[in-house]
Parts: sequence; C-alpha cells; structure tokens
Amino acid sequence: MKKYLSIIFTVIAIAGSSCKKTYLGELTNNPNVPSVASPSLLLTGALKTTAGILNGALSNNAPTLINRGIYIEYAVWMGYLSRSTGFQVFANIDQYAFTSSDFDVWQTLYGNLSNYNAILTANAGANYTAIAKIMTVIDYQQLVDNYNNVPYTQALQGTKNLTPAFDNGTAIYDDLMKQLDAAITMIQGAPAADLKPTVDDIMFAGDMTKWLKLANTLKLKLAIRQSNLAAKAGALKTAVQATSSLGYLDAATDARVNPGYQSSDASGGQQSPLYLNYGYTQSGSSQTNNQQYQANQYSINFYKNNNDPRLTRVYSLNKDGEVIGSAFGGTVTIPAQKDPSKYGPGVIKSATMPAVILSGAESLFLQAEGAETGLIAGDAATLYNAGITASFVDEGLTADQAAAYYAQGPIAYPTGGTLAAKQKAIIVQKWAALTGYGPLEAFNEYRRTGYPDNIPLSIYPGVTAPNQVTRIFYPVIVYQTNATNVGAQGTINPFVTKIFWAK
Amino acid sequence: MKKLLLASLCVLLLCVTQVFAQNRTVTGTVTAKDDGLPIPGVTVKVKGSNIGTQTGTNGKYTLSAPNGATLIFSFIGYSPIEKPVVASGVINVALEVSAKSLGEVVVTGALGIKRQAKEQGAAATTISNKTLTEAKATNFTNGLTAKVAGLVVSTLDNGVNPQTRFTLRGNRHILGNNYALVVLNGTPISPNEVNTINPDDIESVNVLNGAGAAALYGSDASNGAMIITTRKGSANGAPQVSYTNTYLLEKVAYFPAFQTKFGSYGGEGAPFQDPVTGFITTPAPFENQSYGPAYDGHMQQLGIPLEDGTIQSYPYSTPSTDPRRAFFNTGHSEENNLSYSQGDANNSFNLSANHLFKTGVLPDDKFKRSSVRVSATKTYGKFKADFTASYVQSYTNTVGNGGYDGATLDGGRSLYSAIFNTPSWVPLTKFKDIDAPFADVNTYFNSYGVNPYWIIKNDRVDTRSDHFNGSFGGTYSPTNWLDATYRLSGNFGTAQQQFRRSQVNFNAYALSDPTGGYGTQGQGYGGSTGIIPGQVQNVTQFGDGSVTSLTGAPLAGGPYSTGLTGPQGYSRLQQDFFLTFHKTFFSDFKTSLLLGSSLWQGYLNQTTNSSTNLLVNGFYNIGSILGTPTTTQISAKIRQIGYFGDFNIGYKDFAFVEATLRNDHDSRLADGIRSFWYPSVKGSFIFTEAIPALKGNHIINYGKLRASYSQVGAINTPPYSTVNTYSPTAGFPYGNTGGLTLGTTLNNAGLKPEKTKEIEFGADLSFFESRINVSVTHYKSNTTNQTLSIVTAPETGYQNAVVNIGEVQNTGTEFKLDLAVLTKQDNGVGLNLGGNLAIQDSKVISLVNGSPSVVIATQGAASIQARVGQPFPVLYGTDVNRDPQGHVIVDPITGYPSAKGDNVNLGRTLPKYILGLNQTVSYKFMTLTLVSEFRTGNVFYDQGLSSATAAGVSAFSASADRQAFIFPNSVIQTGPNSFTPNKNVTIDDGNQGFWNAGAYYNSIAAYTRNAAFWKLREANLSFDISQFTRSLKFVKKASFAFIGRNLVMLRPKGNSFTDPEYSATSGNGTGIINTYQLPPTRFFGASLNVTF
Repeated sequence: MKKYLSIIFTVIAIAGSSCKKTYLGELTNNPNVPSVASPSLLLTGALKTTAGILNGALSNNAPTLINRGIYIEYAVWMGYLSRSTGFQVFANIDQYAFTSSDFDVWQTLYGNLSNYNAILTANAGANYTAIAKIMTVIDYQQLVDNYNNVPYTQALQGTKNLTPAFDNGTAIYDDLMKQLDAAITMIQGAPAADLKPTVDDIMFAGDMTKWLKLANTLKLKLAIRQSNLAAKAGALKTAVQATSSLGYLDAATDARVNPGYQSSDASGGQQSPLYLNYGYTQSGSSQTNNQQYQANQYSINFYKNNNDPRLTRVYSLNKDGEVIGSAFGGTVTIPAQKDPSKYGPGVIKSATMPAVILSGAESLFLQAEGAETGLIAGDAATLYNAGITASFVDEGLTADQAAAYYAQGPIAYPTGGTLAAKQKAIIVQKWAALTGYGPLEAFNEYRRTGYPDNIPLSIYPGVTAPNQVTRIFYPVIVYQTNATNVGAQGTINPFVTKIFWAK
Repeated sequence: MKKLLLASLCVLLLCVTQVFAQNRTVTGTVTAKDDGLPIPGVTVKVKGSNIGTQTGTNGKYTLSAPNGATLIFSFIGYSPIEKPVVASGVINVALEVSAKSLGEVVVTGALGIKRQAKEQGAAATTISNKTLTEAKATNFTNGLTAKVAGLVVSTLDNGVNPQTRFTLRGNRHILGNNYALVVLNGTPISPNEVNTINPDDIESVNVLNGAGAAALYGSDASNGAMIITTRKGSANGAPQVSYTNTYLLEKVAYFPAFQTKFGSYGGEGAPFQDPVTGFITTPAPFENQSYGPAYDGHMQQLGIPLEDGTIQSYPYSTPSTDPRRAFFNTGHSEENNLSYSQGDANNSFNLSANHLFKTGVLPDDKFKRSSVRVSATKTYGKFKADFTASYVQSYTNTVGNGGYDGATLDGGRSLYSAIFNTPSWVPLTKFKDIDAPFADVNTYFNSYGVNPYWIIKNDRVDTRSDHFNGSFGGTYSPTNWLDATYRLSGNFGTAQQQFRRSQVNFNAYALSDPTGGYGTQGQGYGGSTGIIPGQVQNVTQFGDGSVTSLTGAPLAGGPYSTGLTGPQGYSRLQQDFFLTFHKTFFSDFKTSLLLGSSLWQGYLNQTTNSSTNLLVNGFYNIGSILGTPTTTQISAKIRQIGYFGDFNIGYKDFAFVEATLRNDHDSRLADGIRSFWYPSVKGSFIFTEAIPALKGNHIINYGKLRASYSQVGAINTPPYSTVNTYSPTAGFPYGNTGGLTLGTTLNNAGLKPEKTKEIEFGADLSFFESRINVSVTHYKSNTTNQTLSIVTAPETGYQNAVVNIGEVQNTGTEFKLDLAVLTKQDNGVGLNLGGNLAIQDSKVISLVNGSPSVVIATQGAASIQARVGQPFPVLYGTDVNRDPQGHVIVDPITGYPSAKGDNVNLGRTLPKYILGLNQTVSYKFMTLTLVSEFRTGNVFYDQGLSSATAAGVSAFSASADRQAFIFPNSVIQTGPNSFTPNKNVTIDDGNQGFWNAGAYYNSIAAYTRNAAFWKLREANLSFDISQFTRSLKFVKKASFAFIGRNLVMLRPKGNSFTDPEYSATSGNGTGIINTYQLPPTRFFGASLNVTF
C-alpha cells in the first residue's frame, strides 16, 4: 500500500509541476494584431481615416453603408448629384424620409477622434500633440455642424464614463478655438530636439509651418461659421487677428492627404476615397456610387448658364458626348432615356489623387469673406478671383480660362455691391469649388448664408418639404446607448431644428 | 468490446461448482440472437443451486447438472433464458438483447469510464449503432435526430455536405457556444468534426442531457455531452468481415409555392400600363420581376434582340413543368463500407474503411468522403493498452455565392434567388449552354440578374479537408484497488479552400443599351472596359479540418460560424491522467475515488489570400494577378489545465451518490484570475431493490429515482479578449507606409467564466417485465456571468465592450416511453413503440443595465435577440399597426396598412415541444422501422419568401390575384380604442404597389411563419436474408433494406415555402432562413449488408 501511495503522489507531483506559470500566461497577447502602437503609426492611420470621412469613403469592406458615401445626402440636397435613373429612388434622400438610422457619421467621427485622443494621451511631444489637437478640431467641428450639441468634455473616456453628457455646440466651438491657439503655441514653442513627424505625416510630411497655416485657417473657418452671432463677433475678431500673421492655406499650400493611394482593390480598396466612392475599380468596373448616382440637373444648369468650362470637368461626357443629368427626385434623365453623366475627370481625377481635407479654393473664399467683413486684412476681390482660379486649376483648367470666366458680368466680384451680394458671390463660387469632396461644407455654408438660394427641393411625386433640411437626426445608436443625455436634447425636427450658427 | 469487457468483469465473480452423483454433463453454445455470434462470459446456472459456470471466448460451456434441472442463462444486456436439461445433453441458446432492462445497461460516461446505468444520477440515453445507422444517414448527427429526448438536431441547409446544429436542453449561452460537447473515445472534438465520423464505425452514443452528467469534462460540458464510442473489434476469436453498400437518390421534395399566373414586369416606365384601368398590358421582355400581365399564351419576345436583330419568342404561359423546378437535378449518393474485426479475451482489432460519393440536387455539386479507422486493444497481465486512429479525407465542390454583379468577391446574390428571379414563362433550362446566343452574358434576357447556369459553371468553391483523429492510452492495474490511466489524444486537420469566379467579358453590343434606356448587365457592371476580371480566394486552415469564417471574409457557401470563440475550427491535443481507487467497506458500501488531471491545447491557424483582378481568364493562381493580393493571417491558441476528483459511493446496489469537483486554469483569462472551481453531486435510488416488498413485483420490476445538482463554468470568449489591440487601418499598407487604428472593442482584463447551475430530478421505471419503460426528467438551469460584447455609446471612444453580465434560465421536462407491445414470439410478429418528448423553455432573467436586449443576428430589419423576460432567442422585427386583437388597421381611404413605429416581438425561434416517435413492426425476417418528429412552438423569418415576393414570383405575392382587394381581416380605426371591421375599403393596386412596396411589404411580420412541422424522418424496411444465404457457408449474415429519409413533411398552412428547420447561421441566431438554403429534399434508396 505504502509503495503504491508513494508512486501515486510522485506522479501527481510531476503532473502538477510540469506546467510552468508561463504555459498559460504566454498566450495573453494577441498574435494577430498588435497590442501597442506608436503615435507615428496612429497618426498615419488616423489622417487617412479623416480623409476617408470627408471624401465619403473609408473602405469598400465597410461593414455597413454608413462608411460608404458619407455625406452623399448633402451632395444630393446641394444639387451636385442625383440618384441614378436606372435605380429605384432612395426614400431617405429623395423623399426626405430619413430617420435616426440614416446618415450616421457619429460613430465614424468619434472612432477617428479616439485615435487622435490616443496620440494626445501618448505624450509624444509638442509637435505630435499639436497635430492631434488640430485634427481633433476638424472632427469636432464636423460633429457640431452635423448634430449641434454633442459630448465633448466627457467624451472618449471608455468605461470611465459610459454615458457622457452633451455640451452645447457654441461652447464646443469656443473651446476648439482655444485648442487651435494652444496647438499653435505648442508648435511655435516646440524645442528643436522635439520629435517631429516625417513620412508618417501623410498630409504635410512634417512641415510644421503648413500645420500652423492649417490651424490658422481652421480658426478663420470657425470664426466665419459664427458670423450670424453678433454677440460673439468681437471675441472672434480678436482671436483671428491674434494669429493672422501666420498666413492661411492657398492654392500653393492646401491640406491634402496622400498615404500613397493606388489603383488597387486590395485591402478593401486602396484608391483615393473620392475615387473609391464615385470612380472605377482597378479593372474599370463602376464603383457602387458611380452606378447609383449621376449628374444633378441643377448643377449642369449652373455651369451651362454661366458658360462655365468646369461643366465637362465636373461631369463626364456620356456616350453621345453630352452632359446629361436628372433633377433631384426625378426618375428620368433630362431629356428622358438618355445615357447619364457621372462625376468627371476634374473631380475624380485618378485613383491616386490626394484626398482633400481643406482646399486652397475653400481657404481663399474664406479669406475673401474675412477680408470683406474686416476679420482679416486683404482685398476681397483679389482673393475671390484667386479662389475661382484655384478651383479651375484644380479641376484641370487654366488660370486664363478662370480669368475669362470671372470677367463675365454676372460672375465678377460685385465690388460696389451690398455686403449680401458680395457674400452671395463668394458662397456661390465656393459651392462650385466644393463639388466632390465638400458636400458637408457646401451644406454648412448654405445653412449659414442661404446661398446658393435656388437649389430645388425634391421633385419626387408626393414629396412635400417646407424647406431644405436644416439638420439630420442624432443616430439611433446614441438613443440606444446614451438615451438620457440625447433625450435631453429634445425632439429634433429636421426641417426646423437648427445648428447654433445657422441663419 | 462491450461483451469482452463484461466477460472480464465476470471472471472476478466466484462461481462454486458442486458435484452430484446423478449429474450429467451438459454442453452447448450461447449465441446472440441479433447477430448470431457467440457470446463469451455468459453465466450458466442450475436453477435453485449454486452450480454454475461461464461460457468461454467461443461461447461454449460445459456444466455438470442434475437430471431434470433447469439451466438459467444470463448476461448483462440480454434477457435471461431458462431451459430444462435435455437427454441429449446439448443445449444451445440464443440470447436476445434486452435494451429495456434499464438498470443493467452499461454506459460509457465521462473519461470513457463505464458504469451501470442504475448508478447514473442524471438523465442519459444510449443509442446503439443499429438505431443510429438504420436509415443510412451519411452523417452521424442526422442519424440521432428524433431519437433522444431533449436533443434537437437541425439540418441547417441541405447541400451535399449538410451542416447540423445540435443542442441539448436548448440554448444556455447568449453569445457563447451552445453545441453539445462531443466526446469521441474519451476526448472532446470540435462540433465541425462530428459529421466526418463514419456512422458505421460508431458502436454506441451515450447522450448526457445535462451539465451535471458531464461535469467532469469541465468547462466544455455545460451544454451536455454526447459520448461516442467507436467499435473496437469482436472478442470471439473468429475474424469477421462486414460489407455494406448503400445507394440513395435525393430529390427536391417541397418546392416553394410560386405563382404561375403572371409574367414579366417590374415597374419600368409607363408604356406597359393601360392608361384607363391602370393595369399592365405588356410584359417587359428583359425584366426579372413577375408583376406583369396575366398569362394568355401568346408568343412573346423574351429579352433583347441579338446584335443581328434575331429575337427569341416563347409562349406567354407557364409550362407544365415549372422551369425553375426543372433546374434541379436528382442527386445520387453511393456509400461503401467495409470492416474487419477480430479479437479474443485479451486482444481486439478493428479496421474499417468507408467511401461516400454524393452529387446534389444542384448541377455539378459534388461531395466525396473517404475514411479509414483502426482500433486495437491489448491486455498484458496488469497492463492494458488501447489505440484508435482515423483518417478522413473529404472533397467538396459546390457553387459559390452569386453572380458577377458588384466588385465584392461573392457578388452578393445567391444562386437560388437567381433561379427564382426568373419569370415562370421563361424556359430556364434552355439556357444551359452559357456560350450560346440568348444564354451568354451579353444577350441573356435578364437585365438585372445572371443566368443561373453561368453561376453554376463559373462561380465555384472547392474544399479539401484532411482529418486525423487518434488516441492512445493505457491502464495499469497494479493491485485490485487501483487503476492508473494515461491517455494522449489528438484531433486535427487541414482545410484547403479555393473560391473561383471566372472573368466576364461583355461585348460592345452589351455595353451599348439594346434595351432602349433601361440598361443591361453589361452597362451596369461592365464599366468602361467591358471586362470584370476573374477572382480567386484561397483559404488554408490548420485546425479541425473546417474553414472558419473569421472577419467577415467572403467565404462562399455555408453559414458563418462563431469566429475564434470555438470550439469550431480548433484542433485539439489532450493529455489525461487519472487514478481510480475502489474499495468495498463493510461488504455493502462500494466506493471509488478518481483523481486526475487533464491538459489540452486548442490551436487554429488560418491564412487567406484573395484577388479580384486575375491576370489570365480562367487561371486561378494568386501569383498571376494585377495589383496586390489581399492577405490575412490569423492564429489562435487556447490552453487549459484541469484537476478533478470524482467520488462514488454505492450502498447495497440500490443507493448511489457521486460527487465531483473540478478546477480549471485557462489561458483565455487574465493572470491571477484564471483559476475557477465547480462541484457537482448526483444520487440515485433503486426503490425496487431497496424495498423488499417490491422485489419480484410483477407490475413494476424496476424503479429508480435520481437527483443531481451541478455547477459548470464555461469560457465563451475568443482568446486574447483581455487586452486591447490596434489593427492596420483599412487600405494599409500603401507601399512602405503603414497605419494603425485603435480597436473599436474595449477588452476586459477582468473576464470571468460563465457559470451554469443546474438542478434536475427524474425517475426511470420499468413495468411488466420491462415491456413498458418510462423515464421522466425535470430540470432547471441558470447560467450567469454571460460574456457579452455590449454596444457602447460611440462617444466613449469605443463601439463595444466585453463584459460578464446577464442571466439565462432554462427549464424543461423530458419524457421517454418505450412499449414492447408484442415481443417477437414464435409467431414471428413483433411490435415496438417508442416515443420521446421534450418541453424546453428558457427565459432571459437579466442583461446589461438599462439595455433590454442583445442582438444575436440580423437580416434586414429582422433581428434575433436575447430580451429580458423573454425566451431566448426571440425574433424581433417590423410590423404593421394592429388592433388589440391583432387585426391589421388600414387607412379608411386607401385601405393600406401602416408601419408600426417600433419593432415587435414576433415569437421564440427555438421549438418548445419536440416529440420523437419510433415504431418497429417485425414479421419473421422483415422489419419496418419508422422514425418521425414533431416540433412546434416557434416561428421563423423567411427572407427567401420576402425576396421571392419582391420578385413577384411567390404565390404569396399573388394572393390578391393582383387585383384591387380588401386587406383580409382588417379593421378601420374609428376612435382612440375603437375599431370596426373593414368591409369595403379596397387597396387599389393589388400588384406591385402593394406587394413590392409599402408598410406591409416592408414588414418582417409579413414573412414570419409558424415553424412547426411533422416529419417522417426515417423509414426502413429491412429483410434479414440470412436464411437464404445459409447455403453459402462463408456468409454468416445478410440483410437488405429499403430506406427513405425525410419522406413526408407536414407544415402549417402559412408556410408553403421552405423547411422551418433550416437556418442562415450555425450560431445562436436561429430563426432566419434566407436564399442560401436550397429547397427541402427527400432521400430514398436501398442498402445491402453482408457479414462474412
């Protein structure tokens, strides 16, 4: 008996001790994806994502349509595109029958912000921190412009705060201005030895002067967006002028992202996002939104009526050599049964084109308005013409063609006109320059100024909208996960409820 | 093997032989009536004395018995027989299996340890090879269907290699694995591997319904277990060779109810509409929807003209054979099984080989499976070794997911929906030659769909799987109170899958618009070049021999699986070591104690590469592409170390108590908290033995009461769920530029196992000499700490967080009844009736605070959810507004229903009542066996019906005859709470306007159907033709059988579309059927078995 017992306990002891602690512990870390990331790799990834959001496509592999054709509703409502007549209409766009389930850009933007936040918390030095702050402003401004009041001070804290309270849009705007000032100070005061991004900065390749200009342009954009708020005018003017000497983005220096886009369908599509959205696959098949959307008649008429050569740059020629579109909500082309035009070579230039974050033209029109209203120094007419030229050149036309265009009476800057007339000229031309990457900005400026003032509503039978949409709903996910706080925002009426800066 | 083991057990018994003067020597052979083979170890006793002996390995015995005495022949598992001593002195006896002597049955429990059934304190059912393979189901789980109370086996689709889902007592885990644990020869295997086992190799299956019965298996066993024992060879010394050939035909049995009255139209433009009546007058020749005018038999142009102007015309009417039904073939399958076994008291050897070849109801679908298994045991004195290994190779070639529309790999549309997107007048089978005019991609009639024959030919998935399963073990019994057992086992395999889609070339004619403004496929998808390049995806996985769909990769065919959570997809390597002590105290207390440890590793490694830009048409190699391939590599490893103890005590053969305790350490949990414990205690009491008054009672001859309480922990999380991760940003890398993105899931370093606490009570009773056997079990289990990936507010920075929260309660009752109405007597007539009934209920007790539901699966607006207070799972979806009685409220002017704002509960999706019935009638050498099953109490969402209604082909879409109609049983609201029946407000457009648009068409409720069914699962008419082959000396036994499976299915009236047993997923989201499941089929054929 004793003999057996001693054998038994020896065997059990061996069986028990043969497993070292690491035998189980060594399987903690995921072998498939890294558990750590450098600020540098995070920055590259986050910049590419921001570009994807603004240009309407993150990836062909996006699990839901929310990541495909972001802001496409604004492109339709602002008269750039119409639903293809070969497809059934989209009730949520063409009949304004959208709900909280539609047009969700909330998840995408907070997801992107979470990555910039990770760079901020990594304390990677003044330059990285400043860049993350600047990009955070771009995302938060989009959130406010889409949804007005959103979580800001309590956001991005993971399980520490599962139901962040909402902040007022106007307060967020105020803080964004401060964040930009802080970023500017950080860059200016960064020690020479401080880590600087290089190729990982797929926007400016580590050129911190350009980051300063972007930050400064964003300040101007924040200020001009609030132009309807007389009470804030003084403070905004002070803030803008404090850094006006840094200069602004222009035709030579604009904010574009390019990680090395290529015409490849691999990894969910490696094309420039606008091209991935509206262009063609590597082999030449039409991408989804190329199939589903076509030229909007409003836009075609704008170019035609103004002898604008951008017509055939913005839209493709159909097989008969014509630019053919349809009205918003229309189910037939104009004239009927024609082969329709899609976005053309001036908008979807190539699969490798850089993705625009803030174009030179947009910045120049901002400056024109700023100069006109006395926010900054400068000649509004010159900046206006430079904005048109930048748009022409960007779409593959020449400065001479631009000059001929803005020499026309109805287009020329109304130097002697009223402020309203000047603002209208600037915003209408800005609208034309924003074709493609900028449907959100065009919609913002429309809601701020009411221009262009003749964009038609949907002509789909039975549709009765009182006016253009004033805002979209908070997404359904927020009602599901942060119900009390979003409930406190009251009932949203998409034709009445306005963003705080709206007219 | 069983006989051998019992024989060796019996050797231990003391047999005293007394010699009397007037004795004579009696000799004879004892054989088994079912197979005619000799039985060793049979006890032969002289009635009323201590005289007795046992049969030897050849079944022979010699005994000295007094004249006029009676001999009793008894053997465990067989009915005892009494025979008077005859003058010749030769008494040959054939013993009959007494499957009904409940207490005597020996079953294989946890760790392969054999026990008598009466010692079991929890519900269990043993299924023999004969019951399992009666109808020659090609996979093992189909053979179990309807035969075990509480076991629900559902065939998820009926492709050539059908997948099954099998659960015991319903779903306990919300997001975790609910498959019953499958233990093959002592070691757990992946559910995906189960159906690779050759059913003929299986000797028996012991199904342990509850968590408690299998508590020793640790964290895998919370869902109950199926313990499979494979054949180990015979013990009679003589070699035995058995050959079986089975040939079956498969035919589509229940085609969806399609309308055959209306032809092509889909709403394009105005020309087809009568300006006065609004009715459509002209069919649209290139349309895929069937909302056109009624058939009138005129010759109608179909599709576009050829480039030279030739047109095709067909009668505008449905041919006598629906062309869509004619698309399906008759499938064939042939299975050959050869086995060889030999053995004696100390050794056994079994070798079997099986080959299955099968074609499906879809043209070109093929499945091949070849398997070999070898098993051997050897005893050397105190040491016993056993070895078993199998190798299975299978090859599947099936159609892929869809057509050439879209840039994604799978095209996004199923073949099945391509078939029924064909109006019924279109002679579909004429377009088989996909290069012929009117069938090729340029001129196929359908502007919106692909020729299904094109898909069949050009969109293929090839899968080759290699499986190895083996175990090697030994038991050393140094003394009579100790056994030491060691076992090493592994099951692993590789799967190699290739998805291919050929290049599409549109010509200039197709790229122009020959339809005159409505567009062609060429225009839609040809882009500028007219070429859609070929696509390829290669997946190689080391694991259990299956391919796991991990990150939404577009794997063609089957339902998605559970990702990395397992156990699907993983290989397993396991080592068990345990010691068993047994001792009897005070002659009445029999005790045993088992102490052991178990260590296993699960491993999976998958690499994929794919490209949508093949360089050369028809050449499918990732090396010859344009651009860069998309590649992924995922590996996962799980390790677990368990220590366990099992203490048994039995008193006088009528009271038994078993207590177990197990401790697991698991690599999926974080350091410091990866150890967890769980106990179980079970007891049984044989009152017919315990109460002297009941002994020998003629009414009740066996009665057992049992009770069990257990806790089992289960880790239902993929490995690496305790640390946060970063993934490459979509699109990266761009050359030398890389980018990372923070994961959207907030992982949890404090994860705990889910815990199932189960309590059960039951009784097993036999009456009238075991002619009536009844078994009843009631159970209740509560599973807490559910591992959930909750949706978090995106503004927190994360979209999901992994938490342990929530509780699900399962309750139910299981009944078994077995009636031997007529035992097979000399008149040759036997009638046996059996039945089992399970009532399964569940309730979600709690979930995440403030969130009433967790979504398990979705299809459009339909979702399968766990909801607090509801059974799990339930179907939620959109509905139209209804009055309190459920009548649809319609608009007083237009007659249309209106959409209800929020989603409604449409019902539970797992059956509440599952009834299995089997009848066996035998007359002389003929036996007819019928197995049928009834399930009810649940609903399903038929997305296929929804899709066919959108296409205008379902009979449902023509249920108003395409005329203006009053919505049936509708009401009109007249006040806040008052409704009047709608007698006269009609919906003007009974065509596309109602059936392809609007609130009712868009609601989920409109396509939600009662999932009840009654199926004749198996019918088997077998002939024992041994008596005719007796002249052939070398043939020991022969039988022939006609076999049918799924011959009849009865469904409630509302479901005339599909088989409610199907599911779009193999996961927990049961209740959605889409267009990837083919129409239900039936099998029939014949089988021949010869034993040499």
